[in-house]
Amino acid sequence: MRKVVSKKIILLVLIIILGGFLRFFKLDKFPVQLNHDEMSQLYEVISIAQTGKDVYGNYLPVAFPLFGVYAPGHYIYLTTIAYQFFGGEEITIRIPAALMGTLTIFSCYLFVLALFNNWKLALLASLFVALSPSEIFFSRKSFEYMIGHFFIFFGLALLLNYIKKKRSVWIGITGLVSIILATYTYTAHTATVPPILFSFLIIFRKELIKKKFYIWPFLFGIIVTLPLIFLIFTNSDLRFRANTIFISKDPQLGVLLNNAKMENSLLTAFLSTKIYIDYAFNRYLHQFDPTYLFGEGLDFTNQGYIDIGPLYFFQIPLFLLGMIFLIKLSNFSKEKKFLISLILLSIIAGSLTFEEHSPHRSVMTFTLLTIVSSIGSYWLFSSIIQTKFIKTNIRYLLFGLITLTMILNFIYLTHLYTVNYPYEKSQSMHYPFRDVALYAWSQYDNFPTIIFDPQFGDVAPEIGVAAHYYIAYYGGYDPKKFQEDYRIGNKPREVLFDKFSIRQVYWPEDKDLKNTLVIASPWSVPINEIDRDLIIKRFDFYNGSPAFYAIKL
Amino acid sequence: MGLAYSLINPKMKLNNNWLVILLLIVAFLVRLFPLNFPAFTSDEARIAFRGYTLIRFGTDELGRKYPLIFNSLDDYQLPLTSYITSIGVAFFGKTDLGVRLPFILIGTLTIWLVYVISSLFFSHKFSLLSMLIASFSPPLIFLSKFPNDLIILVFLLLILFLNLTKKYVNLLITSITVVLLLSLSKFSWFIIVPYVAFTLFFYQDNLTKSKKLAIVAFFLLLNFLIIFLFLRIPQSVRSFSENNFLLFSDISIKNGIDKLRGQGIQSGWSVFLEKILFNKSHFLFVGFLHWLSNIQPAVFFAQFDKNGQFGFVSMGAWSKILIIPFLAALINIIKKNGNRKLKFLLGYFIILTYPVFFAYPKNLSNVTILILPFMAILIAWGFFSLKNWVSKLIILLMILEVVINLSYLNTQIKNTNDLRPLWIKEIVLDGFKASEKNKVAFSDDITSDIVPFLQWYALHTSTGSSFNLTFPYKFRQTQISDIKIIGSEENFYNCGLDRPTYIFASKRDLKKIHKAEKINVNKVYEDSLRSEVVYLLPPIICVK
Repeated sequence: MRKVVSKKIILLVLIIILGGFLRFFKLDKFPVQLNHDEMSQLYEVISIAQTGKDVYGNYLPVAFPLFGVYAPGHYIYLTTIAYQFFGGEEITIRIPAALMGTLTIFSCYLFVLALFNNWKLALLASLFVALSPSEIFFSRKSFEYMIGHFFIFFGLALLLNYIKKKRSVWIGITGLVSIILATYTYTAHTATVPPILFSFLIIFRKELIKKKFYIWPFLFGIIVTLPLIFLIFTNSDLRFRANTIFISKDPQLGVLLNNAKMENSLLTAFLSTKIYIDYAFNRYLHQFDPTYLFGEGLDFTNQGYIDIGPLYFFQIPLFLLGMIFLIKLSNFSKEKKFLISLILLSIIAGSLTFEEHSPHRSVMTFTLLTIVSSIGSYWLFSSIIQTKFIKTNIRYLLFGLITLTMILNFIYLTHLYTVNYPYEKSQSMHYPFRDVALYAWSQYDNFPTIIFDPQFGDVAPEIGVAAHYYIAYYGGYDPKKFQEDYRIGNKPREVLFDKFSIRQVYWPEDKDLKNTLVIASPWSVPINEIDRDLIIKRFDFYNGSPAFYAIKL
Repeated sequence: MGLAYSLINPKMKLNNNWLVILLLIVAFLVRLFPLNFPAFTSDEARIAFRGYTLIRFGTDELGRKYPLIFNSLDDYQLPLTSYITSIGVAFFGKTDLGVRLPFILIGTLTIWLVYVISSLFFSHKFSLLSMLIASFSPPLIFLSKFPNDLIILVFLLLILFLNLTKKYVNLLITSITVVLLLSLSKFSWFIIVPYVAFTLFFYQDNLTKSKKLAIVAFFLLLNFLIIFLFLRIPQSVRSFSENNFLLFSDISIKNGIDKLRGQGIQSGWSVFLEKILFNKSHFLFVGFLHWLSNIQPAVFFAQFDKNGQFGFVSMGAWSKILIIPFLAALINIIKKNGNRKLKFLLGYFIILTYPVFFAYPKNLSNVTILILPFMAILIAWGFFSLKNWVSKLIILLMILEVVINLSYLNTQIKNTNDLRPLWIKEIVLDGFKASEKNKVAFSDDITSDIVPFLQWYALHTSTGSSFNLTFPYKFRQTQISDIKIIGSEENFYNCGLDRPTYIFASKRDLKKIHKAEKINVNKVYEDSLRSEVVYLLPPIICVK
């Protein structure tokens, strides 16, 4: 027994180490540059740690305005701890997500163990989670979702443990608190946790009543949630955040609603409601599009289906096997119902947004699907071992083939993530912004004014809204000074601090400026018409195509 | 099978027959009214007009005598649909009723066939339920309302199923059915043989294995013969490549492989590993994912066709609520409950849709209509596991959803404003009237192809006899008698002494004309969204 326990622990530790390695190895190098979310968060961490205020001078805000998106602040506050150890390095902002992503492997192990009481299956599930494309990808960027993600699985594991075994009531309460804590961390969790808890209460109602863990924990849950409800009702920034991403902002839905307008307003209201329901349901079911899940959902490339999904391609048959196994399973009827209800409920947040797919709001679903596919693989491996007519050699061959397929899939992920993703999507990482910022500071003494127009794009233009954060951070600009200097200018999109003006460049007027360094993309300036001698530097995307030019006026 | 023919068995309870007849009447009425909905797409209008010319003049719209291969904007069209359309025109003339009725009848009979096939598996009650479910499937309703090959394909496939599962397989009837199927659409060339083989081996218990194999071999030969004959037509290879094997002709996959591999080599990864990771096997993965994507749950229960061509934009192949009995049926299958043969129906999901694999990147979710009759049976089976009151509620909600959608068609008309331009009728009728005395021209970007609309809504003569085309492929007409279709490359000038033209200009051409000369517009036409689409100009301007 002791041997089994130690073997189990060793394997679990090895899996967690493997998962940790995949999440921390070259964390500062991949993704190749901090994107605008990470950049703004990092500078806010430094600002909060040093001054207690965000860069706009708000004292310990609940939601950070950042660049107009009003992100919940927990990730920034959490990173201030990492800041104490690692300072204001680029990697600092990624550490909490990587750490929580690693801990999620452990929480998933506990969750599966509590659910099916099978440590082999739990180990296999944790291995699958450790190697999961979505888990690795989202753990390696400063993604606030990952914090609540860990807490949900951890809390569910504790709750399941409490109701299924003779455990202290504090285990149950800790589980409940852990899950409710998750609702504070990310809007998607705020939307999914209540229905998840509700389904838990319904499915395990008999066990909960037996343990008298029904009424007062429920009340306790409400008390713990009260501050959040208070915040939602009183903090317009948080509400703004939720509103801007809601499905109602989908332009396609807007067209359908417009087409449903009738002269009778009551009828219009009825049809509009129906269209909302239809649209949301369609969006919901589309989250289970196999192409999205197993083919291209992570969007690493611009090559259509030659991409990777949140789950590996090889997981398709394993997932199907897992579902079949769960349905066929004669015992654990409540557990499997709960697992399936978790999948169905956790996808709600991702499907109620304005985007067709929001993988970053559906990580929990991907992890649950990964767990189901691990169940499928467990069944498959057990069947191969237990089937007597399969000869030992054939058995080894089958295991070898399966392992080889998994390894190839993993190498494919590594290739796409480390090689192709930067080439194909460097724009989405705001790739040359670091170089631009460093160069701007290198020219600080040569020009009285430096103008930067962050409109850029490889194929189509977009605005890099966090440009001021990049310049401030890479110049080591004192956040306190930034809070004092930062102001909105009169020109389109203009923000100013020190000698930097970040704004739209209007070339017919700006070409006549003197003693000014202008950094802009070909989307803003007619680069072919400008004297070559005036162009003193070119900044490229990762794939080598030009992103910005520095023009000396 | 006994129950299958109970309809014509006088000993059977009258009640049962009445219910079947009642449901058939409901299915027929749902398909019949409103008669002019949905408005035709340009290809449907082309088939409608062709049906008229075939029966009236013995030629197609391009003046060819009883051809076997027809023209369309996408591909060659096989003959059966056009000739079936002409039968309706023979009885009811060049009217909506004439063109649509054959399809309404075929669609209604398809529902009856669902009942008959269900009877092989279920009691009368659940067979009726299958029938009811199929009656209210939006794509099965839609495709029964305009000329198209899909509904005939569904109908003939069900006939074939019944023939093949009879105690004594009548080879003559079966062969005729197969020949009809092969002359219906190229898609059927891919599915017939596996369909016959699967049906024989899983549902036919009376024939020996060798006889089954002989039948399959016979149809395989027949299939090859048809393909061989087709390949003798010019551009047949192109037709296959552009419509059925796009996966292999689509350059984006090969480019993608090369690009990603190149990036790896540039980053120092070994060429050998690059070749292992990025190679032609990606064609298989892409095709497979494309196929899965076209048969995903959302297609069946949420949005069958986002363009609204084959169903309501906001509905799947079934009412949303039917996902519950369908999942219940799948659980039954996995748990090994119920009739073994019912489970094999899932096989048709693969057999009838696998050609989608080769069609990447073309979205072909509309071919999933072929499995809807079998799916109706599975859904009905799912009701077995549900409580009575739940079943009743589901059926009520199912009917309610379809009825609501059918009651507010204006929304659907607006959603399909470009694809099914209801508003085009007024424009082409005005244009045709003007062409009796004057030259008339239409911009070619008013709709995807305006010629079939002109022919269908306005013309009563044969056209195009001057075209000397044997096998027209994606052919576009640019002139019908005195009516000219204005292309984007054409210019305008003040007519002066030349014979003036009434121009029905799109925004594109109006802008061009205004650059040359400022003139007032005689009349403005709006589309279903109340946007200005066409401007009738006074006869001052001529087309160069």
